[in-house]
Amino acid sequence: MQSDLSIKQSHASTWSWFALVLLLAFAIFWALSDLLRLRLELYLFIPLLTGWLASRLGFQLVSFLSALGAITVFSLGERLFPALSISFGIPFWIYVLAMFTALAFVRPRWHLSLPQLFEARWQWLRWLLLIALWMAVFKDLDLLWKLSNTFRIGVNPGFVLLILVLAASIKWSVFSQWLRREYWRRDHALQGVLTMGVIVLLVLGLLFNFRWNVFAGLSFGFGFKSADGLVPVIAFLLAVSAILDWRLILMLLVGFFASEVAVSWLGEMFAALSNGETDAADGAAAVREAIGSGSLSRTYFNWVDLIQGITAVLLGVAIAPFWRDQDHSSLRINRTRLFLILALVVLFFGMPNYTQSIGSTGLMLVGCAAYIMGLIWQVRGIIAGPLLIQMLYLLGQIVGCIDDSCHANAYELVNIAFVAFVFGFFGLLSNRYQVHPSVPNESGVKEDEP
Amino acid sequence: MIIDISALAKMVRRMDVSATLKSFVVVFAVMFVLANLVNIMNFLMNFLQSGLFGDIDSGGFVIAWVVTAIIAAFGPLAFIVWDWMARQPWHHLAAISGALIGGIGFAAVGFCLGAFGANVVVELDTVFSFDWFFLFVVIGLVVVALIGWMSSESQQVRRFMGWELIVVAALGLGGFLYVVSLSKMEDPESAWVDYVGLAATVILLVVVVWLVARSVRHRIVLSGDRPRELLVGSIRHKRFWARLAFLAGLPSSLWHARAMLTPAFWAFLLARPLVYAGVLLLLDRIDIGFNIGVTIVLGMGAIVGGHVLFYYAKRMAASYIWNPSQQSDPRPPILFLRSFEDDQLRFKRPGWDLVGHWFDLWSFRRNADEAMIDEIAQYGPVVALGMPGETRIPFGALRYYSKHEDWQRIVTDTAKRAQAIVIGAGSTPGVMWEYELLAREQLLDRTLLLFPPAAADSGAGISALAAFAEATQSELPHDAQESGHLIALLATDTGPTLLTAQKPGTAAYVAAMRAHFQQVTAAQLADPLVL
Repeated sequence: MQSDLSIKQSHASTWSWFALVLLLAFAIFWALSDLLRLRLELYLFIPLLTGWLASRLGFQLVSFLSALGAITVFSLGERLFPALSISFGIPFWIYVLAMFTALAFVRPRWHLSLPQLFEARWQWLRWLLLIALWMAVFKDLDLLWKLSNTFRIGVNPGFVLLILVLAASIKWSVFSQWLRREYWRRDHALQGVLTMGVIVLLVLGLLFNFRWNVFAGLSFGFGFKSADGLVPVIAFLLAVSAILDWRLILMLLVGFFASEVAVSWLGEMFAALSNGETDAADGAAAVREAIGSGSLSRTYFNWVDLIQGITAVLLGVAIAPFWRDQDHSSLRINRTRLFLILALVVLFFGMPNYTQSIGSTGLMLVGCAAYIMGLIWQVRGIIAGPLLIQMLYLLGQIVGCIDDSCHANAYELVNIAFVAFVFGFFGLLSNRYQVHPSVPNESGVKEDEP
Repeated sequence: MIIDISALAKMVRRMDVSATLKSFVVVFAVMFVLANLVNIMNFLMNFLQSGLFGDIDSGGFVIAWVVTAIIAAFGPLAFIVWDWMARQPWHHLAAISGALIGGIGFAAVGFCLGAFGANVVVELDTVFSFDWFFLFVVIGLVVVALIGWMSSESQQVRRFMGWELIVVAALGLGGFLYVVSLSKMEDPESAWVDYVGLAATVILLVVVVWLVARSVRHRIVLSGDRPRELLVGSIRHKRFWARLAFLAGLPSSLWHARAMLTPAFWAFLLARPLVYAGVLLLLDRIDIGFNIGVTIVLGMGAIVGGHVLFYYAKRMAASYIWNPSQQSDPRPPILFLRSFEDDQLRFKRPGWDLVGHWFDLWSFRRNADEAMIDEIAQYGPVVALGMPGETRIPFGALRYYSKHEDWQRIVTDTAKRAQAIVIGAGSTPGVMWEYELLAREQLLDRTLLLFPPAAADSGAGISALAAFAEATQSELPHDAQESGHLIALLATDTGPTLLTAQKPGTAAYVAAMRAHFQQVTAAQLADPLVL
């Protein structure tokens, strides 16, 4: 037979996928009517893409993720009409999730020896990260300055503390050695400069943020303002990596959000006391009055984030074996099913009825649930999965929205259905076309290298 | 090595059906483009003559409009781009497009549910009322059924839950239709046409759902690393002309410009539009100025005429004779050997499967002989010895009617210079001699052994395999008997590979031919593809 009859395979380079990431950084919000509000947040699919690419490309994805970081720091928004706006940018929490997803899928082929990278003081300094996160979530608006009608600048104290803790914990000699070995080689000079540039950008973005409304609805942003979406992501990562017991994470979550209420309550009580002149009795009366009128701390409890955090933990437990082994057969079906359904019930029945939509984080959680369904039950999962999620949402609406104060948006189902199917579809593909961790590392990077 | 290609065959069949259906419309694409261009030119001429151009402030806008219209006019040719994309090994693109198509489909479902939910949430103002309970129970039942159908490992539970879902869906759809019908009945201006329109909408909805599901399933398969051309068929010389000819449903023996000089080419090309036009006439989509009776007669006539023309196109294409002494085609031939007992290796299909027979007719899948002309004649002339005493040359390989004393010499000479040999398995003396020839001349690595489809159910396949193994001194796979129906034996990267299938359908043989001519590896053939 003639040799030219054979089929030639070709493989796209890592960077050809970056164009797709740029496309995924767009989000469109379109309010067709008071009820029908469509939002296409394509960045939700970025963790899916990085996980998929990591399973295929392995360690080669490092540069890709670095470049992704550069996009994360900047954001652009344009309000074309009152009902239509377009934005470009990747939220910080999506980037964190994308990085860790990629890491999970590369891990069997590449191990980063973290203990060598940190000083001994890291053992106690790491507990400060919890405080840093607390501040990043709840005190994000405390240091915000509006310099003009179109420009504001802010510093998130939580992120500053995070940088300080990391700076004090890293063994800089080991880190610089690793950088020199990996990036300061002559053939990697450009890559090295770019990587360092991205790291500097990320640090700057964490240290301060600004937003500038340029003109005609166009706005430009730099840096990370808040860590709102980060709590469910961290809860998920802790649960899925089995770093902490999931029950402990749930308790920590409750404590985390309750502490904010407690701190606010105490702060207000002291404020009320100090305003009540010097007489203790007057101060106590002021506190009683505040409690009686219901104005003290009642609206501070972040119920939505707590529910989303709990859902994230339950989903993390459900998918943990797959996260560890990248092998769908390692999932214990009954346990996975139980935690999956629990997660969906908590998400749809636990959300307060004043929320008009489940938000980007909620959509990501829906996506995660759909991914698990597609992964395990394949074709049945991608047919019944999105339908099940929609039905549960609808049921949640019917159960929860029966009074005049309910502003639930049944058309959120359009967004939910779209995201659920896409994630479920890729779950199915992960099952069918999985790359076994035993596939050799194409980059030639030795294992156990820091 | 034994590989079950049932799933692959299923996919090949689906792709074949899609290609056949597309071929009925594709021929019109060029005409659509020309008509569009003529319309644009007409508009432009009228516009310029009207003198309005000078009144418009923004001439750039008009130019932009014309350029956009011209680009859009070429839209019907987009199917060429689509086919080109389908042939690239871009499995990620298939994954993304599959996710998008399904996502949009489910978003539409979400919109319908949302419309329902929005009304219900507004209407429900009392907790624990009858309506509230009713809805809670119905949706709760659907939730339970979905969980059961999706996640139960028991087949019986899944079946039960599946039926429950079907009943709820049917009741829901029925209820919706009932409500719509009621509103139409209350409207005094409603006519029977409105009800027909409603029924057509439901049918259209079902078709759209089917198309979306089919499209997503295809993309799941295309997301894998399996060679695309194994699924959709190859185009060896990827020129514009060959691509167009493939899409128009012409057999690969006519994928060259010289084919336009043959009457068979034009007959093949015109047969499909004739059938298509007949269908449009019957659907009353073309107004020819006659009454309904004449229109129906003309429509039926066009459909029958199209089929007759296609049949005669095959007859015309079969009129060319192979002359082994004159090598008019410089390409090495593809030699087709078989027992004259089953001269064309007929594919089995039950008589009641009229749709299947129809597709076989239009996609050249009635027998292996036809299928080779459609699939592999592009690599070189497919030649064979004609059956002695045959008066009507069948559509298939080019025949040469040799004298009895010459046939072995002609087969030997042709086999030596052939790029590939396709042989119908058997155990007749003639076929046994051919086996020995292949072994003696060391031609087995370029040989594709096809097990006759007609004998697939009996033990004839196994005895033919045993005869082949004996004549060529090859080793017989141990568990060949328990491996389903034998389809083909070919050489892959892992050595002799026996292809089997649960059903000896047409597509399994087509897949075997493609695998042989595209030199597909055993791993690619064995890639799981169950949907």
